[in-house]
Amino acid sequence: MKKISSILLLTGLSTMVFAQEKKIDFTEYDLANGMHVILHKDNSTPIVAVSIMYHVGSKNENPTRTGFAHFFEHLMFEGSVNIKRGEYSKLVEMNGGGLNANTSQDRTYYYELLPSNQLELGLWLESERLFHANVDSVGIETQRQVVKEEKRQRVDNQPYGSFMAEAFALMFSEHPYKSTPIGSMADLDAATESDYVNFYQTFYVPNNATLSIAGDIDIEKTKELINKYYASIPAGKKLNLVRDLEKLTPEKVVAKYGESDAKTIETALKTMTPEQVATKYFKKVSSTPIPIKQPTIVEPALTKVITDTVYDNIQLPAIFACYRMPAEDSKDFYAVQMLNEILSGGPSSRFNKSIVEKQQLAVTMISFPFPLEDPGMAVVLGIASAGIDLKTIQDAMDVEIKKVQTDLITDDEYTKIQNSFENDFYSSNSTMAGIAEALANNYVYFHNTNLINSEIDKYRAVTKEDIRNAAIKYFTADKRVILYYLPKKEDDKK
Amino acid sequence: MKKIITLILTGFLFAPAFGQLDRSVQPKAGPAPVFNIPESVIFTLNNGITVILSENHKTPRFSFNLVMGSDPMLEKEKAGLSEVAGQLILSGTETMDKDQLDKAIDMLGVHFSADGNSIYASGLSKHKEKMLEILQNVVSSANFPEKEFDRIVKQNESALTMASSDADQIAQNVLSTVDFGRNHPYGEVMTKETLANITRDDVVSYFKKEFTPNGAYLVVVGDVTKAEITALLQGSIEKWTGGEKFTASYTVENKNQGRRLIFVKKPGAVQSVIKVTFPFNMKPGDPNQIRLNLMNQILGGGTFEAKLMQNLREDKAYTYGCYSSVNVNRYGSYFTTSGSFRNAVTDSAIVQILKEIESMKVDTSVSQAQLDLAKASSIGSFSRSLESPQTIARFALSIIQNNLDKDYYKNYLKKIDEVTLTDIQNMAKEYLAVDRSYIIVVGNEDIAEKLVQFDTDGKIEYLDAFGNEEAGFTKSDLTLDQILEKNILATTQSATIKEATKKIAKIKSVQQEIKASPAGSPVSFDMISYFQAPNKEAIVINFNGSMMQRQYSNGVTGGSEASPMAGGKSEELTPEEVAEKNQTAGILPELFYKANKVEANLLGIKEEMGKKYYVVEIKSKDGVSQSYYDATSFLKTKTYSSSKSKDGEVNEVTIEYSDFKDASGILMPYKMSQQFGQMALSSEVQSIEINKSIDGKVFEK
Repeated sequence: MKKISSILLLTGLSTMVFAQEKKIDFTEYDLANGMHVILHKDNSTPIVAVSIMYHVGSKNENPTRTGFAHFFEHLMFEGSVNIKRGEYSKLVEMNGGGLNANTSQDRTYYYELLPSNQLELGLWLESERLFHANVDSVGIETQRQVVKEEKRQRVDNQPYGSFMAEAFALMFSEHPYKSTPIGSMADLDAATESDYVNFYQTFYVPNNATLSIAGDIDIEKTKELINKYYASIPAGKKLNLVRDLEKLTPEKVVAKYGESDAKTIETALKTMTPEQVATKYFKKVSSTPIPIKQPTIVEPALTKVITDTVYDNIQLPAIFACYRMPAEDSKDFYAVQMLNEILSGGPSSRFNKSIVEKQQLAVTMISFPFPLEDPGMAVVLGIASAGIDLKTIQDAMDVEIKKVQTDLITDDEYTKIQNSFENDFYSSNSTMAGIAEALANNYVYFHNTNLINSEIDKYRAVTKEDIRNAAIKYFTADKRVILYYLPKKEDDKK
Repeated sequence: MKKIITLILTGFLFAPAFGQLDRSVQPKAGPAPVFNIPESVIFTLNNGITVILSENHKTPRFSFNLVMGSDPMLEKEKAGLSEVAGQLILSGTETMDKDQLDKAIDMLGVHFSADGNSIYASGLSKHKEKMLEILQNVVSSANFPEKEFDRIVKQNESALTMASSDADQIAQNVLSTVDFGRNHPYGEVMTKETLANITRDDVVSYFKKEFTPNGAYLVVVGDVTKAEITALLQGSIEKWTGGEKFTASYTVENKNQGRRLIFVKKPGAVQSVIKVTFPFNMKPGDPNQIRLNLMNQILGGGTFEAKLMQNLREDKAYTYGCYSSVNVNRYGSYFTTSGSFRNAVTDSAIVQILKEIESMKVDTSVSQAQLDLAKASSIGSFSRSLESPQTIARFALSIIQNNLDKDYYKNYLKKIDEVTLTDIQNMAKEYLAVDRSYIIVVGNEDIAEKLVQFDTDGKIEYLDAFGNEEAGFTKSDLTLDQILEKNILATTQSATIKEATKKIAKIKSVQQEIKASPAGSPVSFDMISYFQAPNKEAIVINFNGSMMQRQYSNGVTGGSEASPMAGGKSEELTPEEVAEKNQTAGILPELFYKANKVEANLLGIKEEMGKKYYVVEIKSKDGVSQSYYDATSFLKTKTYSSSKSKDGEVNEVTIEYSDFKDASGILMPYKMSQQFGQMALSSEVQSIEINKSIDGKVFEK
């Protein structure tokens, strides 16, 4: 027996777990400039999560300028008028904190986790980038490269990495969900500095922001600090005027806003703050918050099966079967979530027992939803065992789905998923970071912050019949998108 | 009057709305946070378990950690026993097999896990009674089914295969063996050899010895009152009985006189993993522990500002990350640096690391600002760790196990605050024994000679991936020709070479049907191996009846092809490669070495895993292949080959042959186990047909 080259590579994908909420007390109110504030006090640990959610995601982008929302997430770490480039993260880390951010189709979220005696630091940091982040050519050029690298590393070079872009593009023809947050390199390259400034000035404004703070705080003191750093941020056109006064020449400002004259402004800026200058010399510029229009496009229903084959740098073929999904917070949404758990939640789930363990057709088979603000997508992914045809897996998958469409799930299964969701619900709100984000999510998407406590009831209300109905309504074999991922052929590789 | 009023009003209009907010000023921190660690309730059960209860009714969650009270045991030739046992604890009990146990746990939506000396579970408090029932069932009747034992052993074999090519794992293994030595439990590392010595009976007796209520701790966290838990425990774990806990004490001592450079060869490595390490004596709670931690924070803690990062990464760009850590444990403590560095700068990196460590002893090298930063960072991480209720419980347990002052953690932040620059320098002087440290380097053999300068007596010590002395070759008592002859005679079951030659000449073709399964995979696939004298060979790999891959050679040309499902790649061999293949073609290439002018080289005798071999090596253009002949039977029971691919990657393949049976007078192996890179494959021959007619197409492109 001589050498045999290896041909089998087992890959696994981890199931995505979606966090639910628990009983949490909170205070919320609006500032005059339109910003929404949510505060949750928990003095058991001396830490605090300071976070801001901006109601802007990839679905708000100009269709010829995709990738902007995510790009901005990066840009926001480039510093501000008062924070030098490269200092933002350092300031947090040096003070025993951690920080992160993420962008989705619907919103962009930033948070710091700090020792509670650094609350003011956290508030100052976020206020700086809300008020006047560095959106200029230096930062743009730097981050353009970083984002390109990220796309290469996380999408292009990942086996099956392109599936999100492929699936959404086929599933949505009119709704902006047809593009994914990472965007296209061509659009990012084509954008000019003024495109970026416009995006910042449109979406990074107080009335599009929700400040969510959870942790070891004193409510009254925190409100005072929020007043100090945020209530004083101007609203409406005036905010952008102040930003422009800080960045542009007096000539440009005067030309843009059609008031006053360059000499006066130049002199005034020597002794007054930009805000004072704005108030005194630009009477015509309004401070009324400008409402942000969210897209109202309703994607028409899918009427057929759309398929596509993608050749990728992979060892094992895979199938992605994608279905339309109801919007978050709709009744059907919860039934679909629970259906997913039946299909692929844990070793005793339908897909795993039947397709992976018994029939050994796939090395992994999971069903996961993309919960989005507008109706989104649910995906069933199967990675084939060596030598197994994708059609075989597709048929096996359809057999399992047919089962849940025909027969109710067993009592044992029902008990299992209720317990599982309840467990997730209570354990996910064990961190201040998790609570801050959940509070913000519930306000921004549903204007119902208390969902953090009441959402578990929606899961409890789902019946076995609801689950079967959800399978019938959404997991339709004749209306779906199917992607076949196959290993690249030799000539493609060259 | 009017003028004054106007002035006042004007003043009002143009004052900034919120007084003196100057956004350019970074806000100062408030006073260091004070926190309350809730008191834990401690009581003992009738069977000797100490219960530590940390009530927390904020959420309806409940968890427990049952921790055994025994000191660690020395495992010696069965190193890894406790690890294997831990992996099997939840595999079944007298009343529930694995599927039933999995189901029972799954149904509650709770999580259970176990290791060699503890069992942990967490879930909703409404399931606490059932969770404790399961715990009692497991501790009093875990029965380690044979099937699961075999599966876990296989799993560990794969893990060890992977570990032996994982540079970080290798470095950690070596650190354990050098810092703690053979007579300390921390110095024992599982190898394939020690794993093979572990039997199911060993696991059963280990469990009996280790898992006993005597001296054990049950740490309970969450939504339960003392009254409730007392009643629940009475009905469950309090019924558990067992023997005395195991006690032993261990010492740790740095006996080095100077610095010792330890090198582990990793063929083809482009980076070196470097660890500068030494053991020291300190028990948790020692008055110097917090000071030592802060000193370490400044030297190599997790921030960019730390000295090692500033030097090795920010300044010299030798690495992505270089850190240091201080590990204080009840049974033995150690210091180590960590990081990976390009081959070419390995020696320079060591110079800089040693320099930074030395510099900590000099009073001018650390500023107050650096100390303040380290304090802020430590206070921050400590505070954040308190968010998890498990941390509180861990503190309570630590106070008991380590005999700490009951307010130890309450005063933690204050103690951090109190550390001075002098303390930092003193810690460095007292503990940073850099002149008697081990410098462990896992990397490419080519760089080793540059590292001699770091070893005090100029002798580099070579160890293998598991911290054992590298097995070398001892001088063979037989010549190459004698060994080859013995192999030929043994394989053909002949008395003379003439007889053997005749037997081999009678074999015109060999067709073998083989079933192979990769480690960790539930599937197996079929292979057919073809041979047509003198040197046509092919291997066809099928799955579910269709061809996946084929390798072929007709003695003149050769190559391989794969179906689209298996990557679709096809390659051709160069004429040199075919010629090399011809040299070792057939079932007994040894018989034809002279005729084929094969340059074989006798390396000597090697002992491995309790077996003794004569090892013969053949060099080729881009690699080597070695044949291992069993010193008793002279059958070829193992082969090893290493070759460099076109893109510079080093591929290593090891195959072990066993279960030799007669096939038309020739002894052929019916079992094979292969390792290549991180993959392992085990194969069983289903049938061997000699002189069956083979369609020549299989040897052609």
